[in-house]
Amino acid sequence: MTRPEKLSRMMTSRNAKTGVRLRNSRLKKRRCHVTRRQVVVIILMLFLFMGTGIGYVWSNFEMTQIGYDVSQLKKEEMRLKEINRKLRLELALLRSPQNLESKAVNKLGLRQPTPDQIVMLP
Amino acid sequence: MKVKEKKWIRFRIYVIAVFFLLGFGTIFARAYQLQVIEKDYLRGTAENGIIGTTQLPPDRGIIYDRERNELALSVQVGSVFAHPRQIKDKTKAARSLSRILNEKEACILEILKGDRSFEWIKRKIPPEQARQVADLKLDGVGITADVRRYYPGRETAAHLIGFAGTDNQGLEGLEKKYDARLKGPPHRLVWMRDALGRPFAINKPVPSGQGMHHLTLTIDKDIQYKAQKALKAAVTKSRARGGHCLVVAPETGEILAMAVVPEFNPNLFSKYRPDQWRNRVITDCFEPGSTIKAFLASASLEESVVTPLSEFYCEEGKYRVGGRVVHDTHKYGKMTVSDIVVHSSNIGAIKVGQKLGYARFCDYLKRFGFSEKTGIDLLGEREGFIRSPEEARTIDQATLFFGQGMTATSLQLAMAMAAIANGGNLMRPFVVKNIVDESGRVVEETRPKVVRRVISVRTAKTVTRILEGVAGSEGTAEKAAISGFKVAGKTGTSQKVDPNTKQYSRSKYIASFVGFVPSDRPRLLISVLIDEPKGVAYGGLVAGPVFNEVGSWALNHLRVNPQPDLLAVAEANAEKGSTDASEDADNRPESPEVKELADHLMEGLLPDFKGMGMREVLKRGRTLGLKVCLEGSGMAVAQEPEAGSPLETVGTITVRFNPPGQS
Repeated sequence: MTRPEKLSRMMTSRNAKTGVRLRNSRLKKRRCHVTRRQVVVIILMLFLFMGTGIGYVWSNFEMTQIGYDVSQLKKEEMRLKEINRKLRLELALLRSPQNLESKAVNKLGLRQPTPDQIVMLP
Repeated sequence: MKVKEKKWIRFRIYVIAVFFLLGFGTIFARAYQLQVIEKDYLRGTAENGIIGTTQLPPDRGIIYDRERNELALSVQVGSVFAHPRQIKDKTKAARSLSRILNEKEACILEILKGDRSFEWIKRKIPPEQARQVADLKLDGVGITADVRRYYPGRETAAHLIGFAGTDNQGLEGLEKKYDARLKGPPHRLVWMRDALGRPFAINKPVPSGQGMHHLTLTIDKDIQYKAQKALKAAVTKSRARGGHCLVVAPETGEILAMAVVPEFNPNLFSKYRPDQWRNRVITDCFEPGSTIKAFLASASLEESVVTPLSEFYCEEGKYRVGGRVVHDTHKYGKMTVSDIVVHSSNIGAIKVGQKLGYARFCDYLKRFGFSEKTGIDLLGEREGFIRSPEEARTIDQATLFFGQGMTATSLQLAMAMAAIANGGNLMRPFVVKNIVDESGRVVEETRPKVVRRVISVRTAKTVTRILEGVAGSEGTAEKAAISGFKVAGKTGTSQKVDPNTKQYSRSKYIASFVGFVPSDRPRLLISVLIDEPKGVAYGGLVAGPVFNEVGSWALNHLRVNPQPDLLAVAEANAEKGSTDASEDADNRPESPEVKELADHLMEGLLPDFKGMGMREVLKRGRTLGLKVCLEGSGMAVAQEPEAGSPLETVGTITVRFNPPGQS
């Protein structure tokens, strides 16, 4: 395929024999010609752009969703931490020597060992 | 180009220009509408999207004991507030609130009738009450999250820890001293709702605990509890005004317990008088009395002025010095330095002191840490007072040798005795072991610090040997002795100055005992002080038993084993005492078990241990002279060799135990 001449020249060129001005429509058609390879590339690129677009939207959407989840989990974390503190307080109260002693003495009937009850192991 | 074509092009340019102008115009008009005309309306709409803000109250770090048991921690609670101006039916609101909050309706109504825009109705209410108030949905009444400090050990170490006030600020003790470290920053969460109605937080919360720290103390909550309990019992028994008990690790200067009576409950601190909050161990100075003789002996021995066996004449209990007569509780003649300390002779002490010299003794007392702050990490410590050699008259000098005419805190006395216990080093006492941030990283750690060497190891050992006699059978503190351990210490019974007469009172005393155990390798130093005991006021009799009780319990708690030889001596003494007391013991009918054992012994055969407890097996095994190996726990289920084997062939017996109910 030869490279077409400049359009302006083609438009103004005359036939050498007849001197009739020609409208070179065939050349115009050849200008719009796209090869199959180019079509494939264009389609591929279109898919690529679409894919990128969809991917971008999807990741944004996911980000928002995760943001919500994080904020929910933060709330949950705060709630659980508070419960944990309250339970620790309760545990500390239950394990306080005052409580243990009163339980051991009053509920279980335990008492301090007398010296003769303590046997030292060699 | 034809004119027509040119016109067409121009027309198209105009069309596009107009199109763009209109576009921009519309955008500007819309922006103006949104930003200027509808500004207020839109702002209101946007703010309506905020469902609420969560004001997270400033956090406060936890205070742990040395075993990481919580001594103080904060928990979120609710506080009820009101905007009185917004409440329409104030009577109705007051009635419903008073029912839930158990407060007088009139009081609440009084608050609601005020013209202020914000009032607290009740702070720090339990979560259940908070929920009920929220359910009322009253206009102008709301609940806000608040923090309340709890002390699960109640009175345990209350004077040391102190307490935090309603607004989360430390007011006393460690809570005040470490307020900046314990306190976390306040932070706020704004919750919004999106187009789909889902709530989300728009500003990140400050990571909770940023800047907040936890404290780990050197206190052992169990020893602390025991010390408080024993001290309280002694104070009640002797009808005293109060008392202190300090338990220190003499090698490091760590405070294991710091008990003060009268006690207070920091959860309800406002119900006690402010003077009951005071940590008297460090803030109250008193005249130490005879306990100072331990330091007099140390100084004299260190300076080689005397030896433990140097003799002094104790003037048969009466000695005139500086125009006054000094008495001893008993009449003593010639006594060695050891005996002067063991029997606590004032006249003997004066004579030893005069040989050493007042100025030199003052210097030693200062080196032992008297009349200067110990540097403990607590607020409000006092330094006490020693009269300078220039100011002291002869009688002042004489009385100082037995601990009158100077003042010291319980802590100073304990740390000075700890210096004798650990071989001569004065340690800096401390209660905060470390400071950790919220992630558990240690930010600051307190290491034991030697302030100075006061006496040599040799002198310390000699003095310790002398002090062991105090808790011996001839000493003034026989009741402080702990069976199975060597105890060294010194009693003190000092007269108090009557604030009205400015003279030494004949009825107001301070009874004290400062000692350490086991004396050859001290683990605990315990100082006990009882303020104004009624009746018998001798340190050995009033404070000694507290030392014994706290010491024996704490040693067992710390798993310090008694020395078997000392234990055997103690057991022998006890048995001797019991046979003396009950002469008819031999006439008592023997129990069936004893009889059975006797039968087997008679036959020379191994008895059956099955069904017995561990204690019983050990006792019987020991009686038979066998070496007993124990396996498992519970009741004896099997033995090797079997019952009935001839005793001569058995040296060791293995007994297996199983918990009852298990095969």
